[in-house]
Amino acid sequence: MSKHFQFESMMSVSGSNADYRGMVKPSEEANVLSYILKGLEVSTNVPNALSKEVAAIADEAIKDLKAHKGESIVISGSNNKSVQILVNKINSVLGNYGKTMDLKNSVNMFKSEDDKMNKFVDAVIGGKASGLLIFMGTNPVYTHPKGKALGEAMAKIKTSVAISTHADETASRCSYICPDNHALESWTDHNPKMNHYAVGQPTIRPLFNTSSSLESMLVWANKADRSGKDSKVAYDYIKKTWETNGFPSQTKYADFHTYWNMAVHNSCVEMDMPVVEDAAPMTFNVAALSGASSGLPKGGALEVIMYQKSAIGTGLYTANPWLQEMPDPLTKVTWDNYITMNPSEMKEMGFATTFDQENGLNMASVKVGSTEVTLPVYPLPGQAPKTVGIALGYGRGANGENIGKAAFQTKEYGGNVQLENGNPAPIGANVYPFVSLENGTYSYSAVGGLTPVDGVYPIAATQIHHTVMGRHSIVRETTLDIYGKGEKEAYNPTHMLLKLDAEGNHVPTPVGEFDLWDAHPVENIGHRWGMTVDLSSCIGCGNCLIACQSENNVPVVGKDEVRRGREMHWLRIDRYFASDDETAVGTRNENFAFDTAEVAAVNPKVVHMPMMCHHCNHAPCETVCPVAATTHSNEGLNQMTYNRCIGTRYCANNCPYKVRRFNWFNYPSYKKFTEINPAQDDLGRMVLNPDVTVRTRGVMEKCSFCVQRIQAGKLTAKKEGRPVVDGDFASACADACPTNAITVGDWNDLTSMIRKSADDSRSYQALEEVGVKPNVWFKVKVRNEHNAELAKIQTVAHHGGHGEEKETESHH
Amino acid sequence: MHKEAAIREPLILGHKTYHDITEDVCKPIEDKAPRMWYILFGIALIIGLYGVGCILYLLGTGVGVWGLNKTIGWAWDITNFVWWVGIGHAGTLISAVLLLFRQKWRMAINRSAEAMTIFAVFMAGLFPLIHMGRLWLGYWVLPLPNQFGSLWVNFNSPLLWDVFAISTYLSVSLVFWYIGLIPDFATIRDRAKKPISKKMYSILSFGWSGRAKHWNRFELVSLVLAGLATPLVFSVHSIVSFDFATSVIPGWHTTIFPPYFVAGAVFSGFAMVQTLLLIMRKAMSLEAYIHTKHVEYMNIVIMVTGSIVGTAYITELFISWYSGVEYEAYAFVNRATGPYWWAYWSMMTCNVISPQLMWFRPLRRSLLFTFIISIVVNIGMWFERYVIIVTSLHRDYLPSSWSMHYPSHIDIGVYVGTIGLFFVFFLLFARFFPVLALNEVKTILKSSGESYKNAPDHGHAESH
Repeated sequence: MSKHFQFESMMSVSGSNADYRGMVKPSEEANVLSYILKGLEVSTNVPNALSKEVAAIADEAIKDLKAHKGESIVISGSNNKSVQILVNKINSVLGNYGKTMDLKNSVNMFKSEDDKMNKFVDAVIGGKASGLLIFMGTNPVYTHPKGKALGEAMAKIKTSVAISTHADETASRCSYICPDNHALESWTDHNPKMNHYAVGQPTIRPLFNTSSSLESMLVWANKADRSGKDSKVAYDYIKKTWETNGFPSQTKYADFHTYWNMAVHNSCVEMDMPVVEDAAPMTFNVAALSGASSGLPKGGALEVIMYQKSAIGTGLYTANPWLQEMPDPLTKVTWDNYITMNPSEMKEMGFATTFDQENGLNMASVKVGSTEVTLPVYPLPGQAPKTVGIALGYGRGANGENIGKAAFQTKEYGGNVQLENGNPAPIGANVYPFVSLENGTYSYSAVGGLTPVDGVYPIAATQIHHTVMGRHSIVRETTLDIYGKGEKEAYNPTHMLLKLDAEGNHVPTPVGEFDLWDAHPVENIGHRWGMTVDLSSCIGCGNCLIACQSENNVPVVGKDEVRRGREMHWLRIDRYFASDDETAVGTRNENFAFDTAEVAAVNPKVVHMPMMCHHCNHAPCETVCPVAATTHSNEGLNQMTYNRCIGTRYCANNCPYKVRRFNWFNYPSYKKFTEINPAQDDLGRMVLNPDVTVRTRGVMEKCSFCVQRIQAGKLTAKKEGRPVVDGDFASACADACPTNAITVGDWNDLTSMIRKSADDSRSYQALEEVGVKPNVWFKVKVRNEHNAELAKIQTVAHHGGHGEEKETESHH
Repeated sequence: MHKEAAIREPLILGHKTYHDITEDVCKPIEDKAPRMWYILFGIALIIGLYGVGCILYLLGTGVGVWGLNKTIGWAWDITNFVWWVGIGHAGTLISAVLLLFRQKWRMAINRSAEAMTIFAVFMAGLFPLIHMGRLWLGYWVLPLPNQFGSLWVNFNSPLLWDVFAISTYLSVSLVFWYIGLIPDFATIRDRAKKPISKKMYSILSFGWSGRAKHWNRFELVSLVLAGLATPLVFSVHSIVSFDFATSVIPGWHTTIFPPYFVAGAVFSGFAMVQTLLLIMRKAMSLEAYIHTKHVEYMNIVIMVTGSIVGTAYITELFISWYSGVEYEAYAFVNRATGPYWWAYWSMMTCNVISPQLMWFRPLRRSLLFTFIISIVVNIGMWFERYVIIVTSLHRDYLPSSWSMHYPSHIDIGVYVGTIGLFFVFFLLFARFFPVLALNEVKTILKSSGESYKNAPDHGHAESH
């Protein structure tokens, strides 16, 4: 198993999945690297002072790196040259080059030329730019730190052209906009990685009067003529390129036609490039190392980090309501950006550290350079002290640019919030101006100041309680050491109850063997659909959530409704921080008390737990519906019959997993949702899946294990005259998961992946003792760390003789 | 004739004759209504109409106008439902159970108490209807033959049992109340001068003649209906308690609910009867018929049922620890110390302490004290249902779903509106119907009337 050390300033998705995590300020990143180098017996003139906690983690890292030379990777997300020099030195000392790091096979995707871009922007602002500017697939008036000045200066440019899909911040200031096809309407090709070439084909004919950017370029270069909506200019050009360059460099296919079809079908082709033998192996430029101490990121009393959220990214998706409504994996906040801050520091400064639907967060203004933004302050456990984080990608459409209805704030009864000048109000604040060019690259951290501001800001979060209260029946975690010992009852104890045997003795029996009712006839008869979710693999990215939303026509409800606790996501990802009363998430220690268990630790462990309908075989929801709108199928699914539901909501109240969602309003028609629910927009409505009903108000809905896909899979098998096999069906969430954390299939099929996964020693069922007999299993999260306290708790006491079952000391 | 001990407090004070009783009860109906009635009726009507407006908005726009969310699917709606149903139980107990136990003190109070029950059940019944997401399909809870297969209702569901329980309760209560009213309507019919009045009360009297045969049947039917209604006192609120007890949620999943809820219902019902009667007796000059003795007896019932409720609270707390179930333990720690602690402690002080004060004779015979306590009890009982429903739901098994409930304006508007509507009905009742069972009271005049008790024994010559 790999071991992941993360040193960062604010809790990120990566950090939340790390085995060891140290909190450092951005200016201390170099200290960590220098400390590690010292541990590897390389001295530098870069300072290496670290706090005790971080030094301990760094020591552990040094130990492991030394023991695994050539089997590790050290990387940094910083653009700072000096920092990267230190990183390169470490990898060099460890012998990673040529083993785990292949410089010849570069990934081409984030190549940039920061200083060239900056020169260009300075030239435009200074009036020295040429009379013609062409922007293609870029929006610097928004994303560049000097974007505002750039936008103003563009008025002086004689001819400016934007090839873009929206009249965004840059395009709206150009003299001409050439509406570009959407990526899904275009023929494109790419070189994402060395030797890998890809062809992108359109999935739909252009919906509007747009034209591919490639075609525009070719027309302007006098290499082609415009040919209208069904133009083949781009297609022909790309095909020609592949015929001229791609086809001759390979030997697999004899004729171009087959080669081209396979390239389009597979979309990616790996070329057999001739192996280039280098003259000398890669060596490290020692002189650069001594110069590393200059040009390091500067520190300050408060360091501000401009980060990207998983959903919004650089701001490309600000107008996408699904992504705005996607709860951030760490903060679970939707529809806003905010200032993340260390909760203890917030308490000292008098900021509110808890919030709910009526009690919002306090506000502060952060100033970097000459730009100041005012935002709510969010208590994020794991934030390094003296740092704050603010997400990029917000504050778009500040001048009312038409970038999409959902990019703007909405009012309680519908309609956009308006600024004084009548423009719709952007969501959040734009912190691109905080970014600055430092020694030729952009720095996404800066020194700044924070001042509290009066006022309370309502926050729309899908989760307002952040710990699992030591409930071992819900989240189970262990370490590799404990898991490696192979004793299941230590890390995954069976919940036992006492049963009377024939002689009248009390015998501990697994809770799964108790049953108050007759079972539904699903075990070993026909199909029984089941799912396992591996907590070790789940990184909390949220892909499954969006996949489910898109597959099942889950409505978007907007900020005000999310604030009131009514988001409609069928699948949610619960994110639990460990409190100081837990040695691992879900495992209590001796200090456990209900009140202190509610507060997350300063640098907590994190577990991401996807939650969806468990399709319980003794579903508490099924018994309580007065009109039998929810029933159990003979394949193990809990069926929700929308057209029978009269909306009494007892089923949702009775669900221990709280996975049911009620249609509080008529999302496809009520005015509150016009700006944000795709179903209310003619174009947006095309996103709906025709295989799935769109529900009306007053009806309950929930995860169906993508029953439409199950039926389609069964039908395919039936038409082919064969039994259903593993892989005929996958739910949207399982399909989308990048780490394959979700496995679905037929549990009755002994050879299926899901059966093997569910029978694994790490598998358990959440809240098994409630007796609902779910069809979803979770798998114990294994962390590759040493946790002596946990090892003491997760042990198995062996008793000799007596036939007594294994007694476990692990806490429930 | 039934001879009663001289030392037993008389139930009818003063020197009342049969004619006095008739006059005292019929005069308020025959005279013009006092101005205060119009003022109160106006206020109640305005509040009631506001509530109706809120309900129409709710039905037109969606359940989202309330303060509910994905974690808390029921809050004020079902709290109000249980509160109103609970209040209704006093009337049935007084009418039915006390009849079977031959308690004479029920005669003066049972008419208004039963009226209170009916109107309370009307208000209660509103909530299951309007809380539905799709009320226009609400008839699907009825097991009617249909073309869907036939598709039956789900008999496992407590909500369905509610449908049967509440509808049975309403129909039996209505019939019982109406049958009891017939002789009294006849009395009013016989005295009525204005043609419309005479016509209306004539229809309502259902052909009552006052013949011995009619009286005979009347007594028999009353006993039968009392026999039918008595089990309802215990079953209806037990079934309502099953709405919670049959679930898996900690704080709901407990076998103590049926007796706890029934006791609580009688507790709050009697408190509401006290509130209404103490005002009514003054407003309609019925002090001779409803006085300290009645108030004291009712306070004793309040004290007993309140003690049962208090015992249930303590039992729940004990079991939450003794059971060893961590979710149950947390549910109660959360109730007492969590974000809704103020609701829990209101409930405890109002419901546990107030009935215990009734052990003191001077307090339970004090009309002012009773009036105040009766309102305190009803506030406490509202909080009890709120605490049970909302605190159990807002923090249950998975902490990721923990949420808070805040009522919206429509939640409050509908609730206050039902109080207004209740008073609209009750004021109409007081205006047009005999608020005292005048013919039943006449049957106890000779045995329990003050002037008759203290007079020497005239033997059979005086018996009627």
